[in-house]
Amino acid sequence: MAADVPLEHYNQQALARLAPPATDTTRFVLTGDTQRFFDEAEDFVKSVNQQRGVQFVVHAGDITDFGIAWEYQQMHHVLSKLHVPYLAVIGNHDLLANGPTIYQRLYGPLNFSFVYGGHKFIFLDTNGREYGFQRPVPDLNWLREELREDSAAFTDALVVAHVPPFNSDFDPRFAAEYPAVLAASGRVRLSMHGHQHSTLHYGPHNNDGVQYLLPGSVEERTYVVVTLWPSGTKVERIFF
Amino acid sequence: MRRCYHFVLLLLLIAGTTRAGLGQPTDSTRHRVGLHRLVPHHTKLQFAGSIGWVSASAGYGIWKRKVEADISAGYIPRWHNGNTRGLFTAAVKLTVWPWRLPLTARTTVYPISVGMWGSLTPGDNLELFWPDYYPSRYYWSPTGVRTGGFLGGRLERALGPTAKARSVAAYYEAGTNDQLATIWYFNRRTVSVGSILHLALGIQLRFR
Repeated sequence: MAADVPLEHYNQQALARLAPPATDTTRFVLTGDTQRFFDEAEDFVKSVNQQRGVQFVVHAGDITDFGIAWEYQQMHHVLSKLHVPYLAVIGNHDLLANGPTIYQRLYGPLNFSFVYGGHKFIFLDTNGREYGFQRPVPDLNWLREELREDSAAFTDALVVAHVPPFNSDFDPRFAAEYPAVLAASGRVRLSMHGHQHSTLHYGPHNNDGVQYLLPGSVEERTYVVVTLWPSGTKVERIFF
Repeated sequence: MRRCYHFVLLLLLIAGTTRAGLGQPTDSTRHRVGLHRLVPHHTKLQFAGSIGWVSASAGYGIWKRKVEADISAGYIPRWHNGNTRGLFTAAVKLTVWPWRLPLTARTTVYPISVGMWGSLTPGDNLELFWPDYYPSRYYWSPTGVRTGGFLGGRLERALGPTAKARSVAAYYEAGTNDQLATIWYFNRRTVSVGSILHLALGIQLRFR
């Protein structure tokens, strides 16, 4: 993560709170689309707090429904009761109204990455429709660099992005290139997304060479626990 | 700056649109058909309440002043709004005052008001209409369009016969908007009513 990001950003605070990995196993919870589902989010927090060995929580975007400061603050208040840090990528709803400014003030940059236990976690803004499909979103040049640089610093990578490339809200100009970049790197274990509120999707899509994981949404009272070890990946679905 | 100048002009226009401003009516001319009918009955200056950090309105009292209709112009300074610039809000508001309780010869309490408003707030990424690149019904109402409701009260003091205004009043409103009300309705366990309420304070001047 860039060194010039102030520590008051929630994502930076979460990284500072991360307990160093004790073994070669990394375990995290993947959720998304908390939006206006505060009651469900509170139950989600209670459920995650009972999970053993979870090191952090990944929020796949749509923290809010309307992108307003009140929602950002209230949802953070709910999620900050998690016993482990949570990291969030921006979703399309988070970009509504003054959302872009608020997200960057509270959470930090829209694209960022960190390495944990030898795995590089890359958080990427893929909400192309919010920019009218007029901007280079997702920033695939940045993504390529993230997958290339410091090749010894990480053994594999996981991408967290709200809109999956097979959704119509992903900029069609980049929909084929995105999986190609991931596949070409040969280092990406999972491409993790929210947005579709779909029930669990774990597997390839159209044989594009990428393994996708969509956890379902908090609204559906479900999430997944992902366990990574050097030779394998395990995905468990939890209902709460 | 030019925008700001226009806004100040608008505020002055609203606040200054007295009967004197459009011609001084006497009792005998008050009910004549004409421009006087359009002259507002009152003006309000309000702090907060979802229609601007500060707003000025002009309005009419109808049905023995049990209902008031106001049109307002509000301003939300940049340091308060999270946007890239200061925002202007145009709103219409309906307020019902079902009861009046005379306290003294000159002082009247209006214990309860019930009202609703709709507002337009254009701005950077604040839309009055969804842009074309969204499919229809992709989202809720556009980000620059809000509606809301409130409860409130008012204390009114009649002025003497030589005063230029008929009465002056102070009022408050506690309300919320469509977005926050929806969130509260579906999350009553975790979201308190208090957390979604906006408080407004205002003064009202009623013209002769």
